[in-house]
Amino acid sequence: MSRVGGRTVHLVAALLLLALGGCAPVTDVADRAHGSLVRYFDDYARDRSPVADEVPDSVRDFRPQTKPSSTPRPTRIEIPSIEVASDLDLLDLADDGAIEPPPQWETAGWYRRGARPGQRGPAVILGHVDSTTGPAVFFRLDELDKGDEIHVVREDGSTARFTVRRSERYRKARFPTGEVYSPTPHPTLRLVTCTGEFDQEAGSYRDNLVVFADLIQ
Amino acid sequence: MRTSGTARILARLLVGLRVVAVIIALAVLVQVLRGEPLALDRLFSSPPSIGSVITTSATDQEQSGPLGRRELRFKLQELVAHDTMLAIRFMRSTIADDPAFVDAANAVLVRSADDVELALARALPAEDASAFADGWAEYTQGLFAYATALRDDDDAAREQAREQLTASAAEQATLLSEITDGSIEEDVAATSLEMRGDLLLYQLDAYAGEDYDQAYELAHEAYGHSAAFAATLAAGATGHDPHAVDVSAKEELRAELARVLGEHVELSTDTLRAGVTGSDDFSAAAGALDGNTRELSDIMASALGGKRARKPIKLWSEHVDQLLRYAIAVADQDAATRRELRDGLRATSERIGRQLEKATDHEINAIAVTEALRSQQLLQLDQIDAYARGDYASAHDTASTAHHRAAGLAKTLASGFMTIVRTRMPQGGADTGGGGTASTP
Repeated sequence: MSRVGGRTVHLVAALLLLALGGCAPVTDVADRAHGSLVRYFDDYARDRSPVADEVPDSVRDFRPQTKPSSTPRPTRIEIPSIEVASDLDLLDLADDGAIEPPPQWETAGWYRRGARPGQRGPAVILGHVDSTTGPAVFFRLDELDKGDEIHVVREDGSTARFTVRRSERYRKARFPTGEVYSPTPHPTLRLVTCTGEFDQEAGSYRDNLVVFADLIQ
Repeated sequence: MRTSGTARILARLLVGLRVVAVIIALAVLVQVLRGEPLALDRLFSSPPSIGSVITTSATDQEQSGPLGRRELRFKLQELVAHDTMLAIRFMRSTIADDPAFVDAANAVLVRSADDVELALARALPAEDASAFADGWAEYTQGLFAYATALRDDDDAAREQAREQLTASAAEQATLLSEITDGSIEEDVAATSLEMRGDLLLYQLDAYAGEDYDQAYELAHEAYGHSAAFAATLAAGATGHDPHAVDVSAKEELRAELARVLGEHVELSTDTLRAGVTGSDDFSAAAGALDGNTRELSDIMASALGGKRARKPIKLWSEHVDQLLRYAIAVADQDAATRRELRDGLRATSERIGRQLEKATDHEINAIAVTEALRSQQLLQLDQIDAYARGDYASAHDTASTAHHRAAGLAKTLASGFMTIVRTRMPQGGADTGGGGTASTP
């Protein structure tokens, strides 16, 4: 009986420590839990609670915000260094899962399922490099250099300003979907057009040119 | 013989039952003494879902093998970012002249430097990791000297502390370059460490000048900077050029989620504490917490689309509101409301889990999210209980554990979000040419 009693005392003590210490494994926290036991009663004796006598109204009345930040839709793109100025059409996904090309040669388009320019993530704007008869809106996109500015005007009249970081040419068959469309920690912009050799048989270019840009304002 | 054996077994069972009854009674007594609402589930739940006094995550303690760049980055981000917030609280409580809080904050900062050392030692030789941690701890003491000088309005001591911090940052930069064999350039390290120091000092200046909005904004920048510094440190410690690391979108998303979810814990801690004490910085803390919710909302909207992210974010705000109302109930000593809010928070975490599962087409497991969030919530409640009764050591320990748990939640969410991102992406290139005018070989 005395053996059982001894074990009981140890067990009770261990579990009491466990409860006080927050139920972490006894072996890990035994020493610290013992410390917290002593500290716990010391603290009561000191009565040093920092709690205010009266909670201010500013605290009681505060309600956390529930609305996400909103960014206006883009309406226009301007690239001064290559003399581009175009309204923006809205683009969606085509039935085959590819992004729709802009319906007009001279008007660029914003991919509506992606980020809005100035919003966190990659905003994507497409434009044709040429039409069936001559140059189109993004004909000179390959002339953009690092540091050139791209301005996107939004429906509230505000402008998101981007600066070119780099340009890359990709085979359409090996288009880096993840690199272009994956989330980014900051607002970014990708301009996409065609480039390279025109495949007469297929009636399309073999490559895409992608300009990567970052928000500066 | 058989009857006698059965009787002995029954007698032992009875003794056992009495022991269990005594344990329950004592545990209930402890909860009553601690001023907590009775919650037997807290006594019997498994350790990971309960506020423990362990400051580093359990998984980290279990694993001590070498870490690659990516995992070291996440571990260091978790530790360095938390260390930054601890340093900020340490400095602010110094100028508030609250020795008990300063003492407890100092203790947890010492452990934080130890944790950084342990993490670095999984990539660097132990003596190098130790040298870095020594320098890190010395820098923290320099911050204390600056805060003390500011409190005492001693301009000469303040300038001396600032010079000491600049020298300390320069030494640390030299060391970093040496122990990473030049992977981290000394200039780059010096600039980064100086920036961290400046942000920490400026936020304190603003706090002392009662410009709390500015103080929280600068603290937010310091927190973000520490995440970037951790990425550099991890790259250098594993022999990579920090400027040339190829970081995947998934890694970037996980790092972002870890940063924002970790900061949520820190800002919740500050806001709840400011709430129960009625501090003048409450509105700034709560405003910063709102900003954090907006960031989380933006990340979710960017990954899942605005429509899918709407409900989880609305519930997230509800969870923040419940935490705050719990703090008010603590200050009011309103046990019934506290009990009600504990239940309410449990329900909200379950709803968030279910909504995220739905928003990610079941890529995220509702139970996993609920458990992770629930664990974090309980720790947050425990820390404010401890803080309110003046048990700052427990409050710091519990808040630290809550911060480290956020990293696990970030990993779970990032994985599920990326799957949805991939399914939502357009396939292939764009057909943006019409006739061959621009054709080149």
